Amino acid sequence: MRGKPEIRRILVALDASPDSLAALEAAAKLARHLQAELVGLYVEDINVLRVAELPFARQVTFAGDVRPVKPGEVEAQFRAQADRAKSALARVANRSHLRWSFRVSRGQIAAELIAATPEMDLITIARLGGSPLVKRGLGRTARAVLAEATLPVLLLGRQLHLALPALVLFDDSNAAKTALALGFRLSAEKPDSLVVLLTATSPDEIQQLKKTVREHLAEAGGKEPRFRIVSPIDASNLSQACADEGAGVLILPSPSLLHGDTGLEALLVQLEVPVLIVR
Amino acid sequence: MPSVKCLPPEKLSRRCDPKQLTFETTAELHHGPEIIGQARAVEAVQFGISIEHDGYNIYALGPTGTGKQFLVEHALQAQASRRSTPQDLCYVNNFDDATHPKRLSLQAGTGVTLKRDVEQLLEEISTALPAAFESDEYQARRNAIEEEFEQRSETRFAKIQQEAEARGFTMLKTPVGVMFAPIKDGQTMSSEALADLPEDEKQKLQADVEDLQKALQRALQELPRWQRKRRHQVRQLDHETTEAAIGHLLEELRLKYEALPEIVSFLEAVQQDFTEHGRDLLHAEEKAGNGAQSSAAGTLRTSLLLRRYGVNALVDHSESMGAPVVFEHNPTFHNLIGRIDHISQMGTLVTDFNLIRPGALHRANGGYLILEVRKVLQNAFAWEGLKRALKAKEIRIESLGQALSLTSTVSLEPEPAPLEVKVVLLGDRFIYYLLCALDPEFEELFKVAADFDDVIDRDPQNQQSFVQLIAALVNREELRPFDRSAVAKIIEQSSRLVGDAEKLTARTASIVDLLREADHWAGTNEHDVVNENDVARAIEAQVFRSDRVRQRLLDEVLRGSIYIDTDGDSIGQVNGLSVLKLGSFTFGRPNRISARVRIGKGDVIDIEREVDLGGPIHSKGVLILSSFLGAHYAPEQPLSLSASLVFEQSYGGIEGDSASAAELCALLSAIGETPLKQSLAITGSINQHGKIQPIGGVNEKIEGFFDLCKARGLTGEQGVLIPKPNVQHLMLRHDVVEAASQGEFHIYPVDTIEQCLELLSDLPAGKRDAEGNYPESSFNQRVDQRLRAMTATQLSWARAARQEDNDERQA
Repeated sequence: MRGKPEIRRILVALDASPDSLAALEAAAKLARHLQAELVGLYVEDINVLRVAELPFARQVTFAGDVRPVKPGEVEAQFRAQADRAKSALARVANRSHLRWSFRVSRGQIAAELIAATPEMDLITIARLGGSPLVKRGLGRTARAVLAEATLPVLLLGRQLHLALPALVLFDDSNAAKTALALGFRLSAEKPDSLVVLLTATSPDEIQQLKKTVREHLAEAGGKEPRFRIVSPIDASNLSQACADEGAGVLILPSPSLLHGDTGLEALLVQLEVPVLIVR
Repeated sequence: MPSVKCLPPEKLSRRCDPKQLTFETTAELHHGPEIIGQARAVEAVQFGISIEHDGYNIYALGPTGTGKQFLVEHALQAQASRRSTPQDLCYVNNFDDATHPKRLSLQAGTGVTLKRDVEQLLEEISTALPAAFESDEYQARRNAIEEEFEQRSETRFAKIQQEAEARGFTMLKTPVGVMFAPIKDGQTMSSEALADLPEDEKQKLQADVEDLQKALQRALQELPRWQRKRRHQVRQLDHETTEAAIGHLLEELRLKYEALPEIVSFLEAVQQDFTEHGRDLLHAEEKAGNGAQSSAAGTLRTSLLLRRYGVNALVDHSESMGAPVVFEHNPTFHNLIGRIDHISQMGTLVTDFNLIRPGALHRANGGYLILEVRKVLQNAFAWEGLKRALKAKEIRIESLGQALSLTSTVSLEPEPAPLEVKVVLLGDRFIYYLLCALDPEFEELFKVAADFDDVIDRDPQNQQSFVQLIAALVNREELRPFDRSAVAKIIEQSSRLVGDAEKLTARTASIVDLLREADHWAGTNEHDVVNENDVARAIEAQVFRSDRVRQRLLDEVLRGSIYIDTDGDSIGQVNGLSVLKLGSFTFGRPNRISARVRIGKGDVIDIEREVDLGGPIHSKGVLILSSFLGAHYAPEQPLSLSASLVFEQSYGGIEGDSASAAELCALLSAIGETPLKQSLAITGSINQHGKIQPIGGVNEKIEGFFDLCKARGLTGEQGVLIPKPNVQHLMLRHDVVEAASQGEFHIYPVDTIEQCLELLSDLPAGKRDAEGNYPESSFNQRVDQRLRAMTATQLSWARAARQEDNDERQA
């Protein structure tokens, strides 16, 4: 199959938060399917370290206390959190018999993640992360990674489990072909669980797209998928399609047919499924 | 010549003349009750059943096979059918304290109906409730609550974030909370950059940070309150949804049972608990049934609801007519008072009210419970459990661990059920008297003793009843009809079984055995009707199956290994008779008893006693005959003999005094040096005046000696001396009677020792005259003279010894 993705290393952004641990579970599931290696990355936020040195630095804990920051305290907290993240990665990876490695870096979180991507084939990241108290939409880090990274990004959340069926949005772009190939591999265990979302303005165009999809799948030995027309492609129609199909994962080619980040963000607010953005 | 005549053949066995019976076969007869006699027991049982007061439970005592169970069951069934059917017993969850399940006592039949209704209700609820929670209405209201909360918190935090950004700060997440970082040139400000700031800016920054921190702190502190409020709103919504979904379903049941306040209050408790916990239960079910198919999930959901809201109908009387009569064959502690089962769940044992199991007392409550006392006593703590329930008049279900305070783990303590039951214990007399002696509570709780006799008088009326009993048993056992000769034979055998010509056995079990076996032989002989020969064959077969030991002993006598003479004369030697009981088979055997005398101090040594082979009654017999000896002969002189008595070739224990007459004869023969006939055997005990007293097992004893004589060839001289009172017990075998009628064997009824001596020696016994002397050549004179001679000899020895002493002293 053309555009066959070679996913050998999956980068997992870890900070030991429930959201990132959920992302870890999903990454492990994906790694099992793709026989890939898990690479955990914990970033010590340089901004936090810098602020901690300020004389008036205080932490407002989640329980509502205000506490002065002692010298070295934040570093110790980072180390403890990194240890927890590493343990979690080891536990999950060993349980699934996956190869894994773990690294810690210090810097701007998004920048460090993006810096690590050239060696990676896919990155999983929790949707939320930057802003601690906002519970919906897209976090700062996720937004930055989406904007700058060139590899597939799997966006996950605390309540989101990677599952089937896989819904693939297909527009005949190269990214869409990669997305189709990933969807095919993810649904290999249950061949009936691949749904291809098509968008076109005319019946001829639709037929053409279907033909292309069939050719790609036939090349890989796949069966006829289920097709679903989504028109126009927007957050509302996509989330409706996901709800109707009981989607376990939505794979979107990027540049998306969604119009810009705001369109994607609007989709993520509505969608309660993991989303894989393919470049 | 002996004054005692042998008994005529008609005295040797009381025959039942078939001609007296006015029927051809039992098929013509009206079936009588399957019990006979027992007027005392019947009255006691009737009294025990009808009296209403506490403690009037019944103990039916008597030997096995006397019809105790039959009589008790029939009497109880008759009484039970006249009484009202007791209430059903159910247990339901106690929603306030699940360890104390609540009891519902309901009109007969209502328990099962309620159980079914509640099951139906729960099935409906298990569909209606999830549907209500999945409905658009519920989801919309739920989302609205969640949305409101999210909106409120987000608005609050977004405002703080905006405020921070407006003041030149950004919010940073740390591992434990949030920090506000001042921004300079798009970067968080370093401490160096801060140090370069003028003091007033620094102070402003610090003041801004403090403001922001306070604002965030207030927002975070309010968060739990908002969450609490959200939870409360969600719970309220859940309650309303549950009420709406199940209210009308419960209302239908409430209306159906509105006349029964117990059920109404149970249904109200169900509704209240459902409102509180229904949603949680569904969540639990979702977890437990994760991955299950939808139909399986529905079943699982119903079963989860049943575990909490179901009805455990412990005792169901929906099909009972009258009071229950329960026979508990395995009266263990838990089978009597009920038990609480446990099931294994995730490696631990758990229980609830559904696992309460009834005991026999629950099933018999309001009626009658029959138990075999031996089994009750054999089962650990069953007796104590039964007494405790009867005394407390309630059934408290608890494990043995709880009852004995061995364990203190939390388990169920179901509300006790009031107990009103009449218990009938079946058992033998020994246990009854033992319980009377050893258990002070026994007589308090079992005031009525129904004493079953094992024999009844053989009078015409009872004989007629007995015939009807046979007809009833033949009918019950579905046997071939018995003709009158067979019935007559069975009547004779009934007397024989109790060893008494004037009695019949009341142990119907042994009669039933004989009937079945006679029927079997009739079948073998291709008879349509069981006749006398079939019955005789059955009796012979019974004996043959059991008489291996008897035959071996007889063989050893015939082979000369055991010395028993059946002709000729011997001094100091007589044939005594003993009875052996092996299992249910009893037989007699002759024993040689011998005596030796010498000069001595007047003591009679019982060799059996000396070696601890003689029982106390046997020793008593020997002491009595010593006393007779001292008083009867030369009473004015000291007894100067030393005698020894022995049961020859006896290697087991000897008990009973039925050989004391034989022992006295042997002793007197030894003293008087007068030979006794070995063709006769003697049985009977003796008193101090020389009177012969009756003994047991007379038939077997006579037959034991007869069999030996017959095997060696009857001479016409042989026979047995028996106590006169035992004549009424004679039910001898046909061949013995036949030999007697031919003059080949003789049975002599004797009253006194003198009669025995005359028969055994052919000498007159002799009566003491006015001077105290016995007639010349009489048996007694020989004994008397020998004793006097022994005394004289001893005196001369004593004088000589004294003389010798004096001589020595003078010297």
